[in-house]
Amino acid sequence: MIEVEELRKSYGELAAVDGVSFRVRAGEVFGLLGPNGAGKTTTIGCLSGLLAPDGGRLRILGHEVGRQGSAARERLGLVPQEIALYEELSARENLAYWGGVYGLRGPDLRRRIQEALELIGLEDRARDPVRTFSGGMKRRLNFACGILHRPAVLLLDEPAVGVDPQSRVRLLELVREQARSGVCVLYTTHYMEEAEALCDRLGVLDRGKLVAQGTLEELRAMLGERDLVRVNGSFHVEAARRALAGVEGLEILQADGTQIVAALAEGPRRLPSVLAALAAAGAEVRETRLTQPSLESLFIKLTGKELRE
Amino acid sequence: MRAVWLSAWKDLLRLRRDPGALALWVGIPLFVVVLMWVLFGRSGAAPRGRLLVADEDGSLVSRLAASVFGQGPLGEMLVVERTARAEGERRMRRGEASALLVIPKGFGRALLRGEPCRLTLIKNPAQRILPGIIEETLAMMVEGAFYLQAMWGEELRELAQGPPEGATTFPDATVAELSVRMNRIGAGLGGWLDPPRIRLKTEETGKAPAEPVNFAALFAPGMVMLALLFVAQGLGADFWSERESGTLRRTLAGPGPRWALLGGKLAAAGAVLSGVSLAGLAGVVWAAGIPPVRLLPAAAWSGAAGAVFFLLLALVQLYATSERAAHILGSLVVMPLALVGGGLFPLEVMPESLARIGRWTPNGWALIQLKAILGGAAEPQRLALYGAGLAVVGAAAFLLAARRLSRGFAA
Repeated sequence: MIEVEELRKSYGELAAVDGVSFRVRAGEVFGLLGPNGAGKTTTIGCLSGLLAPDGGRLRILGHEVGRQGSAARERLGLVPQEIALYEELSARENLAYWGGVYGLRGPDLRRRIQEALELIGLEDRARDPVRTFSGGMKRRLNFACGILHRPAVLLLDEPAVGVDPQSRVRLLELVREQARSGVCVLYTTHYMEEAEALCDRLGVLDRGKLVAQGTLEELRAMLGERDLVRVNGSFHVEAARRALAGVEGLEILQADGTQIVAALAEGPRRLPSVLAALAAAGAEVRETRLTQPSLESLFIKLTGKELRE
Repeated sequence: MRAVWLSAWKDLLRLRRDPGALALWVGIPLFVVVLMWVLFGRSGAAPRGRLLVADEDGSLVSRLAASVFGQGPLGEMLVVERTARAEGERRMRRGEASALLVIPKGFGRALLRGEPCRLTLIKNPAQRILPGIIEETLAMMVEGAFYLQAMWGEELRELAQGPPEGATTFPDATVAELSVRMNRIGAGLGGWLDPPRIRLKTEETGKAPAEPVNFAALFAPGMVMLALLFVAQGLGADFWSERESGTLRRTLAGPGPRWALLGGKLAAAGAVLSGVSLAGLAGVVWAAGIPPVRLLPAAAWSGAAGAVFFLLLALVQLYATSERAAHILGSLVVMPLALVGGGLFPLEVMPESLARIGRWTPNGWALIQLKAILGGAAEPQRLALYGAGLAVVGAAAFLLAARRLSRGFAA
């Protein structure tokens, strides 16, 4: 189990993590969702003992990360954002090294290496140097190195960045398998689809603050049953705002000279009114997109910006 | 200890899979050695210099004076090349010779008449030993000319006046008279010169005389030390590559003690540096004819020194703010050390001001002890003291590096 209470970490004047609190239970996948620079990696760094927090309490399986660091790290698995592998070594040698770091040795280590290679589908490439692998194969091996010692707590820091769709699906399935076997998983990402597909609960992180957390349903409820309408074109922002104020059930989430994003109740029925109001305000509409409530719309509602920014 | 071994195993395996890196680190000094050997060292003779002689007099005497530098032991060290003064000065500006000797017009006549004249010697400031030898030889020649004048000045002056007017040669009677007079002076001095009135007795006390120095003994230990410096720098740079790839964070997030990673890297570096030392010094021992019994102590010393270089250069890497800064900083440290620490040019042939600095550099200091071990002049007690000093510096560097590794470097 992971317990984070009022975690704070600053780099000079910049508060990278500012009073973040959350808990992750065994068998649960908790997603930390946020754009680059939101504080996800800093949170992982503090949990893995690589960064000393400025304040707050961190516990892993009941062990204080600061004072009982070694005990806390013993059953912790880390899959960092980078492909943390030795490119000159083979897949088997990498697994042997990382298993050794967590105290595995002898027949037990050899058996687990074989199991891990089968799990990630790299048995036939076990002796090849990692530098000859594709990005997806490296990502899978990177994941296997983090779970070889069968950790009770798994920290995954954007493990699917830059992975082809096929490998991503396989990787997410591997994470789900870990959770099903009772592992407590903390998964950071800035991909909405990943978070929606994988996580049991989510925390939305923005500029070091956890602006919302809960299950997907709880978070969707925060947005209401409204759709997300996105209009691209050329707008006079103030005129457009005035014109859209008269549209029933509409809340502007974001507006600038080229794009307006709004939450809209009964979107399909009211979309013509939106376009009419914008036309009356002298706007030139080039593209319109209407989507159902999603994490993305929630993120825009909570932070006033898109996750890609 | 298992964590240390694991880390060392991993690093050695990586190095074995990427032998090009090690080849490059060792290759640069090796290339310099081969180059030096091809240029100077094949016969085992000392490096040869070039003396340019601008003989503006062109007399028999001036030709005799210039030929002194091409004879005997001097001839083995110097190539004497005649040139015009302007061309000689141009070549000296380009650093193409050890020295330029200008013999002015009228030199022969002035020497015979005992009149003052001036020889000009232009020395290459980038060289120390050969220009010094040339200058000393010239000073001896001037002194010789003084004694020649003192003994046979009158006769030489008569010779300098030339044959009587209208004749092309001296009359037989004049030649016979001059010969008899010069012979009498010589015979008169004979009683003083042979047997000599003063006998110099030389008695050496203290240490045994140093063994003859050849090319391999002079240059090659410095090259080995240079190779160790480059290898240590290359291995030290691995901290940044591990940081950038994320493997450092992952290792430090493990339950093992954090110093174990550094310990493993040190063990791997120690093994590599000892191997390089042993191989390099075996070559030195073979080429310089040094008793093989000195190989192991010399390799142990240079291996230990190399391990301390590794720790010191690791500190430079770990305290740099970025990989680029670490690279620049590492080069800024290593290149001057290579230049003044006796790696590229032996401390023995450096200008004293530079050599004094070089002796205080870590590699220069270690090199002096290494040469003492190879030359059989190392005192065991002193060496033990130096070894302890090396261990203290190494331990301090290890603690600082471990502290930096566990506090922020990996994050």
